Amino acid sequence: PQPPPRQSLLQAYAKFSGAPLTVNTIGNSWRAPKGDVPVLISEDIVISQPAKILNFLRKQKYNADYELSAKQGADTLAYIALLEEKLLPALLHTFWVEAENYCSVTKPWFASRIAFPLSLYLPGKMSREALNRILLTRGGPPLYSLTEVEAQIYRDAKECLNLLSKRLGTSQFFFGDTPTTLDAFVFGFLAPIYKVCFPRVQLQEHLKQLPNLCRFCDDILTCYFRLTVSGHSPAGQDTADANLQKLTQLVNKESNLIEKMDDNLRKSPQHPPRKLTTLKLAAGGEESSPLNRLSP
Amino acid sequence: ATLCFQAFLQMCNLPIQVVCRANAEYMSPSGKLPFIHVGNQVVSELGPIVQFVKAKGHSLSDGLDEVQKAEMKAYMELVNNMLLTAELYLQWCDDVTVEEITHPRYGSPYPWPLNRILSYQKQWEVRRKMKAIGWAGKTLEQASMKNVDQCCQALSQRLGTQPYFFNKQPTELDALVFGHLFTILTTQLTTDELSEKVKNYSNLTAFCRRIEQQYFEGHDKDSSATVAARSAKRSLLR
Repeated sequence: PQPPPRQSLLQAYAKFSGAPLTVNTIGNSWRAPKGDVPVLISEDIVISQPAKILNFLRKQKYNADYELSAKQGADTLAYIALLEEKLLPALLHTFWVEAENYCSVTKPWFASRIAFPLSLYLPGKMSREALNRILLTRGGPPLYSLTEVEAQIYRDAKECLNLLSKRLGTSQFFFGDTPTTLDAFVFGFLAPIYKVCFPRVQLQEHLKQLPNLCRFCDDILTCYFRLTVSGHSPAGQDTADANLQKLTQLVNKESNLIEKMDDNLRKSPQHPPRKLTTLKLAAGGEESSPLNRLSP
Repeated sequence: ATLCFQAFLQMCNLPIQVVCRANAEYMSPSGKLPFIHVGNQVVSELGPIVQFVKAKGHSLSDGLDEVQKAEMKAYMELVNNMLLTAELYLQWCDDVTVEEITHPRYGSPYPWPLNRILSYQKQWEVRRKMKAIGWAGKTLEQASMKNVDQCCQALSQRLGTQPYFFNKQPTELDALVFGHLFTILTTQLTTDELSEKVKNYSNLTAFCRRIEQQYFEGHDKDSSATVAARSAKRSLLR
């Protein structure tokens, strides 16, 4: 399974750097090379981890960090480490471990996108892996119970959000007027928290108290994802479905992703309906990939 | 890790005495080392110790503004995320290092068979953690070396030509970085590759030397400690 930020991060980066890419989802993850997602395919080269994908895009001259100084590059790495250590556990918890959220939003959405019988098994597996990861990296004395660990990770996440807000200040992006890798990472982490409507929303509530971070997300969504967001026009969508559609666009945690670099194709606004069709036609279920760490 | 704390406390001008104990991990309130024992209070781990010291009126980061504090915390996470994990990986997941260095050191205070059992237990624990964060499949080169190199590059770029990370005054970040880098530079391992990576960045080695001279030279016991003694200290207190 992939952490929620992955796909939105990569899509945001691609938009910032101007890399033309097509996002395809396949219902059958066994077709994805090594079962790892998301995956970038360019001609014959297959690359499967976000950090490597970013490196590849940079080498192809789609570099969102071109204007940055060495020190700013170093700052980027540091803030990414901060996100992974302090924010990611709480994010995983909100999506996969918090019982109400998991049962009412994550699991149904997830299960609706993969074939039976994997839909019975896979969500549970991902949930267990998320919990495992949280406990192994953040649990341990003096935090002896899950409640204590949870309290600590949410404290850390809120502190992280505060630090990000202080760092962003009144600028449009983290390094001035143009977005960079760090903006993509922050967006990737914040967008799911900001947009997905969960029953238990303490992180979202905290985020909403930081207006500059909300403005940051909104700006990116309107400037860079405008086409797809407004392309959501299937008639007769009710609110729950619309939220799930947004989740698909922003998160796509579980749908398998093959990104193809093609100079002639841009991401199609009709993407969501096509995905559902693809899922119905695809045979077999999805294989989960191990919870890979986003390595900077 | 001990060195980070010693450096931090020296920078705050607080006198300390380092003591080695075999049951140190059990004495610590959080099970993690090192910890400090002040009067009748015991505090462990860098975060709480910094806060404890701050509550007593000593702080290194008061002069920083909010943005700088955010940056400092981010860099500290970078060090924890990359350097510490790379060090742990090298110590416990690289078979050669484990067999020749880590097992003997970790088990040295205990009689056989306890020494083997405890080190295997620790090794299993560390490997589980590595698997959870996705480092299990990596080779030594990928996991440790590349991450140490990237981290050092970032630190070197951030430090530039300044004496400390936030210019004139040292902060917790300087103490943390010093602790890790000095340990890498002075600990004997099966290969010198790790210390070579650090030595590639001359401003970082100069930084370590500067802190060592400024804060440790008055203490003969520490600054003239041999490599072996330092390694032994690490094994007992980790």
